[in-house]
Amino acid sequence: MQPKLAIILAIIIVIIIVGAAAAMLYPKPTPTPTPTTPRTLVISHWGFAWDKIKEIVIEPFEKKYNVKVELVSGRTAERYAKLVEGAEPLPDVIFLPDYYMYRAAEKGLLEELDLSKIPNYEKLYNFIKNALAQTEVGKYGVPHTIQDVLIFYRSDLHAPVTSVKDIWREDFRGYIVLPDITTTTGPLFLVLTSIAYGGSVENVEPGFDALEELKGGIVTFYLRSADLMSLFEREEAHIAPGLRYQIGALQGVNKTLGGVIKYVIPEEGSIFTLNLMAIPKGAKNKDLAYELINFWLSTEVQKKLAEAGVDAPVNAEAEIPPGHYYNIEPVTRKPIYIKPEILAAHLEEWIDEWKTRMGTG
Amino acid sequence: MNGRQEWEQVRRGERGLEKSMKLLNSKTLFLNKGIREVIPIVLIIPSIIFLTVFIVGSLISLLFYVGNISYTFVEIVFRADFQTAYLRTLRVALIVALITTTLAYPVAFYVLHMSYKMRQIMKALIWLPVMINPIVRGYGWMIILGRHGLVNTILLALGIINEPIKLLYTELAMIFGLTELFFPFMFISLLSAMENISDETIMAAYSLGANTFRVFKDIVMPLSIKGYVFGVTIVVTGCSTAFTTPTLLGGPQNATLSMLLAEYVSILLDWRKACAIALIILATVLAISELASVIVKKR
Repeated sequence: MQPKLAIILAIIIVIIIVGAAAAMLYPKPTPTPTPTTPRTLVISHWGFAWDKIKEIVIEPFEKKYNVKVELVSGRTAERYAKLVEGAEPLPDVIFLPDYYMYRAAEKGLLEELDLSKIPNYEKLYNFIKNALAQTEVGKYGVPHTIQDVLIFYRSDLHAPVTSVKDIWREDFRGYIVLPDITTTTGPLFLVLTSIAYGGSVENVEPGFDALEELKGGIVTFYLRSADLMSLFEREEAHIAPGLRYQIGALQGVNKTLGGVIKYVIPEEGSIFTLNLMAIPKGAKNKDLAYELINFWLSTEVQKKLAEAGVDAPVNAEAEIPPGHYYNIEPVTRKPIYIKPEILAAHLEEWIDEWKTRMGTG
Repeated sequence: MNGRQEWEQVRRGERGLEKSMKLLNSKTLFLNKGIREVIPIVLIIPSIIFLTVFIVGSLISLLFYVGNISYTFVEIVFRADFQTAYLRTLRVALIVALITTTLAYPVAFYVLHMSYKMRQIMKALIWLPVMINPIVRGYGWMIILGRHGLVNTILLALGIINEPIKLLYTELAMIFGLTELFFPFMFISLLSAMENISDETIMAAYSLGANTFRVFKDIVMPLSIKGYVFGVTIVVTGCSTAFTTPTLLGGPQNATLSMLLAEYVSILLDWRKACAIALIILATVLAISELASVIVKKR
């Protein structure tokens, strides 16, 4: 080592050590909370379409309650894991699909909600309230949006589709795309198929038998919702089941393809899932958390979110124009709900059976 | 002899190792021997801390998650989906290693014979795709291999096939994607090894009448074998842990171990089994690279 280099290195090391020591010794300025300082409410959310949510919900809420909202964003599984680990900052309100919320409630991580503090709860669609009454998670979470399974298809190349069973039509063979069983849509589609072929939520065997017949005609199974529309765009798919919110992306694809992709609610019914809001145990701002949940469910916010294409409304009073894809009136005709208890009990065995019979895995 | 001449001798390697070190030591310092020995230790402390916390620490925490080790491992090893995914991952990794080797050896040997400047340009060109996001490259392959993709269009136009063949969402598509992904790594490790072979050795072989093939087989290959083992390790490790490319090109019907792992983490929320899979991947990759170096040493 040359002398100069050694000196430089020695100086750098000294600077680092001194710097670190100084940083440790220097007293951190402690922020003194004054009455005018707004409180901070932490929410755990996907962060999807956040610009719009911020404008429609967060900013008006912050102004109304003199509070600052901090977002912790991430995918479902990631945020669920953080909740289980008790990672800081602990959210005051967490947004998760009903199945994950159920698992969190099962682990005792959520506050039991006092619905009298959420007056807007009364405005929810009756079928949604009925669905929540069947499940344990209804005590811990309140839905902010709904997703139901639709069938997307190429209307220029095929005759109209009305039923799930149309996927089995000869003209769709080789052009079928299905959700993988590990996606949110997967188990819903399996149950819907079972219902179509004489089974039920509890008895999915007829569904598996029918699905096995499709095997040679399936292009692939999609793992992420974003892949579905790409599959239509690349003309790999002519028919595929998907969730309602995918219509948003579909409109973009339809611009390129000339409006040829259509969607229908299958005649077997609208099988749906709910995304819930809940308050984790140990949340520091429970009062504000209740206010936010109530605010999110207000007719005005629900309507604006739907019109902006962010989330389908759960508030029955939020009037959405009849042609708009987030007008969920048609869902009320024949809603089917799979309560999270059923998924929690069967998902693993369904995944196993799907893998063996559909050859995924 | 003045100082400059002495250093020249060291540089040319005319002074012998021991004398050179002595010279180095006498010049290094004004600092006494004690400090001289301390400095390297001080310098490696940050990396030791980093490795302890993030590698050793995370491995130990993995073991904690697995819980009752033997039970979890037995449970996972006997699952049909694990066995299929394990064999597929291994098969794909080894095929990709074989293809990248076959492609990269001649290319590296060819590039080795180029002028210094050309060699740098070729290296940069081959390395360039590495800087592009694998997701973008995955979609690129989708466009090439799709139903209405480049390959099918050409084959249809030439009349070789009557209707589009299924290339995408197969193991083959996965092999294509991974080969493209890892070729540069194999190339670079082979070329670096070849560059360390002294020109004189190669010249000597040529001057003694060996043809290019003979030089490649008897000089370059044996002397670059360490780079080869390194390349194989990188390719096999990369293929066994790759997630994006197999997901995009193979799909769930061609699940690999990483896809299975992701399923256990984020869908089934069974982190115990996920950790077991992670440790099995690690053990397999270590075993393969160890095996490769043992075979090489025996030769």
